[in-house]
Amino acid sequence: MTQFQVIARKGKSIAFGRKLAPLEGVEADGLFICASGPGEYWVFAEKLCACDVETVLGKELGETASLFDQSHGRIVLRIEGPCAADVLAKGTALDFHPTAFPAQGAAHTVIEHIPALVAQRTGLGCYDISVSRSYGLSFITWLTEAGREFN
Amino acid sequence: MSRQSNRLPEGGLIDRARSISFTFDGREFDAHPGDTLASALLANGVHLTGRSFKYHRPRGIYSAGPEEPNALVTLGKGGRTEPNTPATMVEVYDGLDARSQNRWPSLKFDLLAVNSLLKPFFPAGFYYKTFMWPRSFWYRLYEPMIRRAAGLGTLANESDPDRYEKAHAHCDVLVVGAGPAGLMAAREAARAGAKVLLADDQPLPGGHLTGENIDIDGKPGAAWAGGIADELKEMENVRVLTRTCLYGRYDGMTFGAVERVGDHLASNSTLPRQRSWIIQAKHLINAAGAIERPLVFAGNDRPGVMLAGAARAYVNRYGVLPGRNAVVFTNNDDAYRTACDLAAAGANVTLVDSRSADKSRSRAILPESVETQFGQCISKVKGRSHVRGLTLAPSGIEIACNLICVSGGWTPSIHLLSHIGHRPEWHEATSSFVMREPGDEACTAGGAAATFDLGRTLREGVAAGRAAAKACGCRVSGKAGIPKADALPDYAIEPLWRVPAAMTKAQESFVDFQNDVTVADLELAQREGFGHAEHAKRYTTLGMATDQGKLANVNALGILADLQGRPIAETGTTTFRPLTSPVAFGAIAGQERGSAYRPVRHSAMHSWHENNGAVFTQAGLWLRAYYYPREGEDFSAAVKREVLAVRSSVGMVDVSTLGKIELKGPDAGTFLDRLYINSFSKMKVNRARYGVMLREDGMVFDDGTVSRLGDEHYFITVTTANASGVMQHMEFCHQVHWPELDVQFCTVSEAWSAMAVAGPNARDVLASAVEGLDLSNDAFPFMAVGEGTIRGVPVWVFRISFSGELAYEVYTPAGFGLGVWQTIMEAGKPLGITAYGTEAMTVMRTEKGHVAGPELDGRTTAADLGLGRMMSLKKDFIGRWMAGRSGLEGAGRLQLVGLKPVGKSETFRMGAHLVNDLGVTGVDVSQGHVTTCVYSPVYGHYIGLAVLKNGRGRSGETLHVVSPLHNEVVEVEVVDPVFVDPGGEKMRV
Repeated sequence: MTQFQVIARKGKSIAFGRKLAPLEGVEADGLFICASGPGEYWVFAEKLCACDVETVLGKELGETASLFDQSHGRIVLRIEGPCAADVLAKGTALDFHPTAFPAQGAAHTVIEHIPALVAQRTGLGCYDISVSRSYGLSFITWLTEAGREFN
Repeated sequence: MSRQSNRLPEGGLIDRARSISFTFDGREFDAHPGDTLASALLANGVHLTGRSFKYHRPRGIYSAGPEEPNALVTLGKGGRTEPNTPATMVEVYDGLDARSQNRWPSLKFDLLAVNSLLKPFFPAGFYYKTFMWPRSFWYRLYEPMIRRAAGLGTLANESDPDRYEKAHAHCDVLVVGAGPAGLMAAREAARAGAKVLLADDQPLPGGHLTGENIDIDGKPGAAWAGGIADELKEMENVRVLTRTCLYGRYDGMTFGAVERVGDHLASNSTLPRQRSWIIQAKHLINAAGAIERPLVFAGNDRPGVMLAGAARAYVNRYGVLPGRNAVVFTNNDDAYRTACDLAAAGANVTLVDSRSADKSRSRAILPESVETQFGQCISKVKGRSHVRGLTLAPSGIEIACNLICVSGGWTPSIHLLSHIGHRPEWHEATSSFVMREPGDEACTAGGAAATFDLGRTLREGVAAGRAAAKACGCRVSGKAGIPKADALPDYAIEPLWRVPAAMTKAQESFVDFQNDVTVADLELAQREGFGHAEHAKRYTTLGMATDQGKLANVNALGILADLQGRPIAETGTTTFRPLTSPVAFGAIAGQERGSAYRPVRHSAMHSWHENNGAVFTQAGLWLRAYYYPREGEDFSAAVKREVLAVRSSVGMVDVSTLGKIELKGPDAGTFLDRLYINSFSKMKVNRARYGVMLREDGMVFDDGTVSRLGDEHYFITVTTANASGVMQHMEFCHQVHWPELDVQFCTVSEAWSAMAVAGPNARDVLASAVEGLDLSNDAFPFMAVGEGTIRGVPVWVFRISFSGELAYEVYTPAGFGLGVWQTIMEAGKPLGITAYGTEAMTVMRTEKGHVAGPELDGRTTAADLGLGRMMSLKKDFIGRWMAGRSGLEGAGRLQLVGLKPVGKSETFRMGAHLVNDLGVTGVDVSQGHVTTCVYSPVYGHYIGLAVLKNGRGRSGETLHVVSPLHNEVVEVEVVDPVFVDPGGEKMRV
C-alpha cells in the first residue's frame, strides 16, 4: 500500500492543517489521511502509486508541506472480525471501544514492542496495521500466536 | 481408587453425573467436576495436606478460598511443575496430579518434624541471634541448611512449556468481586450505560452465596447469582472475567489481574494457561467481600480445624461433610449458620461461644440437636495429624470431635483500596478495619465495607453501581429493583484476639499458619522492643508469607494491642502492597520469552543470507549476516576468505540496517551545518561527504555520510545502533534550538535497502548491472551520488568506501532489495563476487583505520580520533565550544593509534591496557587501551586500534598490552592507524 508521511513546512502548519484536517478519516481521492503528530499526517492510498499520490498531494498542499514516501518501509496487515480487537488488545494498550476509537479513526501505538499505526479505514472492527517492514516477521508471528484461541 | 466417604448423598454445585479421577501424593482419588482439589480431598476423608514452613507441623485444609495458608500443593511434573498452589483454588480435572510439599520422606512421616521439638531454639528472629559464629559458616553452611529445612515447594529447573499471554482492558467501572454486592453494582452501572468490567477469582459467580444455604428472590443464592451473571454477559457493554484475581492497584487507576484461562482444563492446545491483564478503569467498586478470621487457641493449627464459613461452603457448594462430629467455636453469630448447615447435613454439632449467652442473638435458629456452650473457649486440642477431641475452659469439659470450625469474625478485603497508600480505619461495631477512599475514584460495597447483612449488601451494591455510573458521566434513571433476600443472623461480634493465656494449655497458639508465627513469638517481639505493627511484622515474619497475612494480620494487631494495653485503633496496621496473591512469573512475562523476548528485525535480503549459510549476529534488534561459512570453514577461515575476496576482486555486504534520515526544506543545509562538525550547505548536488556529529559536551556522538540529492533535499546515514538516538537528537535540536529553520525530516531507514559493493572489480560488476548511470571515474568520481536503474528498478548509487577499496553503496526501495541484491550477485559471478558479513567489514575498516562503535565510546573527541581538522572554524555547531575546553584539547589525551604485535603470531584483546613498564603497578600506569583487535588477512597477523596517551607522536614505540584478568602480556608496536592504502588511492581509481 502506498504510504506517505507529510510534514508541514515552517510557518505553514495552519494552512496545511486547514487543507488536511477536514480530510482526516475520510476516504477522498483514494486517500485515507490521519494525523500522526503535531503538523504531521500519514496518508494511505490503496490503489494509487507513489507518483500519483505525490501529484494529488502536491496539488492539494502546494508549498505548505514536504512529502516523504514511506511505502516501501512499511507493511500493512488487515485484521477483521468480531474478535479482532481482542487479539490486538494482547499487544497494545489502545482502547478499541467505538467511543474511544471510532470508525475512520487511527492511532500510533506500540504492539508487542513493535511501533505500529492502527487505522480503521473501512469501518468498525476492521483494522489496518502498518508496521515497519523489518518487524514484519516478528509481528506476524506474534499475531498468529495471539489469535490462536480464536482459530 | 478411594470411595468418597465424606460426600453427602445430595446437594452442592458439583456435577454428580460425572466422575473424574486425580492423584494426590501418588494415590488415586475420585471427584466430580465442580470440585476443588481441597473439596475432593475432604470428600475422600483427606485432611492432612502439608507440612508447615518452619516446624514441619502436619497441616490440613483450613479455608475454601484464596486465603488458604496450609494446603499448599505442587501441581504438574517436569517443566509444568507449579509449587505453592492453594488446594482450595485448584479446580479438579481428570488426571490432575498434585503432591504435598515440605516433607521428607513422606507427608505422614516427616523427619524434619524434629524442628517442632526444637522450637524453643528457633523463636522469632532466631537467625538474627544464632548462627553468628564462625562468620564464614553463614553463607556456606547455616543459610543453605536453614533454606533447605524451611520452605515451600521446589521449582522445576526446566523451562515451562505452557503458553502465557498479556492483555489490556479498558472500562468505565471496574467491579471486583461477583458476590451479591458486585453483581448488583455491575448490573446497575451497566444498565446506566457504563462500560463495566466484572472480575472474580472463582469459576462461578455469587461469591459467598455459592457456599451458603440462602435464598434470594425465592431462588437458591448461587442460582440467583448465575441468573444475574447471565444477564450481564448478554449486555454488550459488560465484560465478565471469571477465574481472575485482581492482584494490584497502581497509580492512575491502573489495575493488574491474572486470569486462569486454561488451568482447569485437562488438555488445552489453543488457550494460554494464564493471561495477565492490565486494566484501565475510571472507577473502582471494591466488592471483594470479606475473609473469615481464625481464632487463636492452643493447637489451633491441627488438621481438622477450619474456618466456619469454609465448612459451610464444603457442605453447601461441594456436598462434602468435612467431619461427622463437629465443634463450632465462635465469637459471633455468623458461625451459627455453620452449626445449622452441618447439623442439617447429619453431623453431631456442639457450638462453643466465647461470648456469654445473653450476647448471642441467634440461639433460636439452632436446631435442637446442637448442643451449646457459652462463655467457653477451647483450651486444648487432642490429635496430631488429625483432631480427635478438645478441652474447654474454664469448664474443663472434654468433647470428642473430628472437625473444629472456627470464626473470629470477618475481615473486609480492602487491599485494592490501600495499595496506593491509603490507610484503613478501625470500625468498632464490626471489629474490623475498613477503608474509605479519600477521592471519588473508588468505593466499597458489601462485605468489603464490613456490611454483613445480605439485604444491606444488595442495597449497597445497587447504590455503588449507580454512583459509579454517574461519576463516569452516565445518566442514571428509574428506580432500581432490589432483590429480596433471606434475613441473616445479627453479626454481634465480641472480639477475641486470642484465647486468654490463663485458659491455654501448654500448646502452641498459631497466629500466622503459613509462616509458623505463634502468640509466643509476638510476645517476644513486644518484649524485645519490636512491638510496633511494622516492626513486629518484620521481626516475626507475620503476614509475610504468600497469603500476605489475609488471615493473620488483624488477630496479630489485636494481640499486640492487648500486650501494649491500648486499643487496636492505636496500634495501626501494616501496609498492603501488590501483589495481593502470588502471580506466576510466566503470566508476568506473557509471550515475551525465548525467541519472542523482543521483536527481531530482518533486512529485505534476510532470506538470501539464510539460504547462503550465513551465521547471524545481533545488532540491537537487527539480525545481521556475520559471516558466510562454506563447507569445512570455521569463523576465521570464512572471514579471511571474505576479506581477501574484497581486497583482490569484489564483494558485497548488506548495510540496510544503517539509520537513514531524509531532510527537505530550504534550511536543510543550514540545519546539517549546525549538527555536524563539517559543512554541507555548500556541498554540490549529487555529492556525498563523511560527517561527524558531536554531543553538546564536545564528545563524538555519531558518524556517517551526508548526501545532497537536490537543492533542498538531503539524505544522511547514521550508525545502526544510534539510528533512533540521532533522530531524537535532531528533533530536539529542531524543536528547541532552531525552530525557525524551515526543514522537515523523518526516518526512512526502513524504506531503503542498502548494499555496499567493494573491491577493485566493483565498478565492472556494477556497470554491468546499473543502467542510466555512467560509473566511469571521470563521470562518477569518489563521493559522487547518482540515480540509475537495475532491471528497471530505481537505485541510488553512492561512491562511498568503508573498506578502503573502490566501493559503491547501492540503495533501492526496500521492496526491491532482494531482487537488486540477487541481480548484482548474478552480475558479479564472472568476477567471483563474494557476499561478506559484518565481521569482514570490521576487519577491513580496522585495516583502513576507520573508527566505529568501539572508538566512538562517548569519551573520545574528534581530535582524539584524528578528525580534528574536519571541525570547521567558520561556523557554529553543536559541541564546538565544549570540545575546545582545555581538558579536551591539552596534552595527555588518549589518541587513536594502530598496534601490531612484535611477535607476529601473537594476539591481544579488546579492552586490554597499554603500559610501557611492566615493573610498575598501580591504577595510573595505563597509557590507554585497545579498542579493536582483528586478524588482518592482508598482513597475516593481528592488528589493532587503540587510544593511547599522546598517541599520535608515539609511532614506533614498543609497549605492552596487558590483560591481568587473563594473565596475558603481549609486546606491541605503535603504528599509524591506517594500515591499508594510507594515501587513499584505491578508493579513487
